[in-house]
Amino acid sequence: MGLVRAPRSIAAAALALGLAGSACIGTTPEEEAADRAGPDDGDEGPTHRPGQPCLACHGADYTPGGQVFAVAGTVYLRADDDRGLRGAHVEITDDDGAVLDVVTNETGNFMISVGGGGGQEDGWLRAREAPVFPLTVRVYRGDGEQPMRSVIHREGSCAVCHSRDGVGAVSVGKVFLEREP
Amino acid sequence: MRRLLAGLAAALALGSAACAYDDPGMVPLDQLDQQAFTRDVQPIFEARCATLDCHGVEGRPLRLYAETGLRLRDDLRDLPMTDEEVIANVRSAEGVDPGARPDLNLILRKPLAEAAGGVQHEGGDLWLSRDEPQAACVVAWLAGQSELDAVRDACIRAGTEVALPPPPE
Repeated sequence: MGLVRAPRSIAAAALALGLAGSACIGTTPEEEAADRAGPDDGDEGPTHRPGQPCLACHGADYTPGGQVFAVAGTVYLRADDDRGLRGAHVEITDDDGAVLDVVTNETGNFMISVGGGGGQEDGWLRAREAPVFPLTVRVYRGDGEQPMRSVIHREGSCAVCHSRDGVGAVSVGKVFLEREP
Repeated sequence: MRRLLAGLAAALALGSAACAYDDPGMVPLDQLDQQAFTRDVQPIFEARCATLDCHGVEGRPLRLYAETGLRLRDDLRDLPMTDEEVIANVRSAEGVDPGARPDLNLILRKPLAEAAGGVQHEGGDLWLSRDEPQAACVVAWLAGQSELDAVRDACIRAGTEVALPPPPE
């Protein structure tokens, strides 16, 4: 049985599809987000990259950082501080009423992974179960308290909406505990 | 060529027919009540929909501005909503499902549980029933019925449900 030659129009369509397909091969949005974080500052582990969107490298869909976090971020004493705040509690209440309370480490970082026994160390809470969105959040330390006014519907990286670059149309600024010095 | 033109004409006619809508329950897009929106609907949208990780994102369907979410300009952060932002939200709401009957509008059906007649929604089920005060309040606004007594009760209850914590001192 001889081979049937495809008409030119079919061949052209196949070529066009191939070219269109090749345009899709490249950097994924997740990879782009991770690239925007830039090179690491030499520090490693739970204290690294304070103020950056943690799930860019620690998300469920793209995990060059190795560990997947459900929620992670950085807390500052005041909105214009450069260094994060150690010892701040981040209390997260999920849609089922479960409460997770994690304490920030020396750079102000906290992170919550899932599948652990519920213990925490160095800002890292290993929760038994994933929190169910939407989440209600408050930050507190001693007598100071700052409730988050809106809920979190889906974003696990605090820094996506709380940019360390300050406030603007798409950012409410850093997560902070006190408004005034 | 004639066949092609005839086909195009038929397609255009069908498209126009699909847009023609004379249901008495529908309020023309330019007549939705902006004042009622600000009073009744914006607080619901702000608390349930307009966060920066959901509809507070430029380019998303039902893009919404909110005091605690997306702002129209950088310098508006921490300030009350502006008229310009409110109008933009009304226009955005109008554009979600133009021509739809209020009780079938995707603004209701997206956050409504599928068991109650809703459709798939990335943000999950916000309302389990059409009778929930927030749902009833939004539908009444779409229907131009925000001032009815029964609706006022629903909207007041909805407003209590979605009240946000006060701004930081």
